[in-house]
Amino acid sequence: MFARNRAPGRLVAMTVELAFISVEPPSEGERTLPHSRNSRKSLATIDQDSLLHPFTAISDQLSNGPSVMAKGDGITVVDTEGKTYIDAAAGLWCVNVGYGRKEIAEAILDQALNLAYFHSFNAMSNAASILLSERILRVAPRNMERVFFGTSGSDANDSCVKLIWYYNNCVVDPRRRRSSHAIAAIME
Amino acid sequence: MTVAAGSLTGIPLVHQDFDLPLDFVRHVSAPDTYRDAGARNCHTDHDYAQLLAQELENLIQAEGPDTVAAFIAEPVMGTGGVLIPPDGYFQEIKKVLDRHDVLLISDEVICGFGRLGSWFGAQKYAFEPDLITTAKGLTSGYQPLSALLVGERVWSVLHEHAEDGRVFGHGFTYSGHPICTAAALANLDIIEREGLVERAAELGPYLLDRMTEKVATCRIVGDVRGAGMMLGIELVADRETKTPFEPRRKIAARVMKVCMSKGLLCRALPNSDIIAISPPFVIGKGDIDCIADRMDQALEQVVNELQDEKDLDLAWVS
Repeated sequence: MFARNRAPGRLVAMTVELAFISVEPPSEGERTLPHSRNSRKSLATIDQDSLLHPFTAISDQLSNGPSVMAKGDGITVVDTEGKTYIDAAAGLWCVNVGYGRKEIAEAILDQALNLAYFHSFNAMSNAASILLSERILRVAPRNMERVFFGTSGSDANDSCVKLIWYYNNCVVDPRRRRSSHAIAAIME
Repeated sequence: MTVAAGSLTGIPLVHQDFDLPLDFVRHVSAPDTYRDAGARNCHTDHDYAQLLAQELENLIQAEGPDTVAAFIAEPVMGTGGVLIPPDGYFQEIKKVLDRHDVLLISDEVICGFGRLGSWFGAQKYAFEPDLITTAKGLTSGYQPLSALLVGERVWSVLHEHAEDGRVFGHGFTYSGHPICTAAALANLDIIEREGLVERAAELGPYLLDRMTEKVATCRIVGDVRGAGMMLGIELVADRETKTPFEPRRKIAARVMKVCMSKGLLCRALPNSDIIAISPPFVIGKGDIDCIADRMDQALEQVVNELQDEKDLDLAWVS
């Protein structure tokens, strides 16, 4: 969504026309998909032909089609039909600082150019992760001592379960090893 | 939704057809002051918190205290229904856990980083978890990133047992991905510079007041509740008896679709007829007024449609 301008570190938003894209008609022998009759396919049609959506009624996707979002700014998002919505759900409870924040986009770009990836196994590390872990501990409850990173809330909870299994193996409490129970009052 | 997290949740949709939950987890009642407290004859927060703590105590005893490793809860339950704990809930729960040497996990995937008007929900509700799970608000969704915070009690054991050179054999290719953590640093810069945690604390009550004022009298609204920038609207077929709509009506999903047609995105939760509102913290009061107005219009439209459809099993339809 962002292209690099001439000045280093500056970003400009590209204008995108996303509702339709042109594709070549299928050549002989190529798979033709049920919703794709025209060479000019809508994104919604390609979605119906190609995507398995998370937490979605498949029948709803196939009969009513997806809502395809194209842009976001502040508290609003715009779909490919040009309709504007107030996003009162912040995506899935997450876009707390709102859409279109250039500082974050620039930080992502700068990091990608500088060091796009490195792992953290075997005590490998990187500056952003080091600084973030310290910063999280600064605002966290005082008894927090270390931070372990993953990529989703689900995996954080899986990591938490595994960490507790590991912990109980450390303290050699055989009764609380792998058979040990977690009790949950949660529905996330 | 991963296998362990999918086992910890109590949402039927996540369990059914996936052979979950796995056997390592047991469930107790989630705090539900709208339905459950009254149904169990608890008329004060104190009584209800004590009853829920006793339920936990009973389950720990039934399982055998030495086999129970941890207890996990969200400070305010999100997708399970925007359920706000009764006063003193976590203090009562903590007493039980301490008695049996059981760890407390605060699942702050939604609540963490300001959603409740405090950096963490544990701070708002004044309890000290041993572990905290976070994600969403850490990057505001700009990159996928989660952080598991490890408290002194667990870390000290890991530290103590590190001397033999053992490897903590868990992690992901993308643990500490520098692009994700760089995005999180920039996100935290914005939150601190713009005072967004304080802003969420200030605007939360305004959001609840405005929404209550607009929709609480609607004949299909049973409850409007909120904490910080989390708000839930529970829809019912009968306000007096709190009778839910039949699930086949998918009434919350229907309201959500009408909201969309009016330019408002909200979320129908998967577990019951509850609509969740959780706006970005940068929202203004005028925008909150607009959200409440559009929600009010959407609910009225659905009420009128139900009238027109003449479903006689709804007592108020004539």
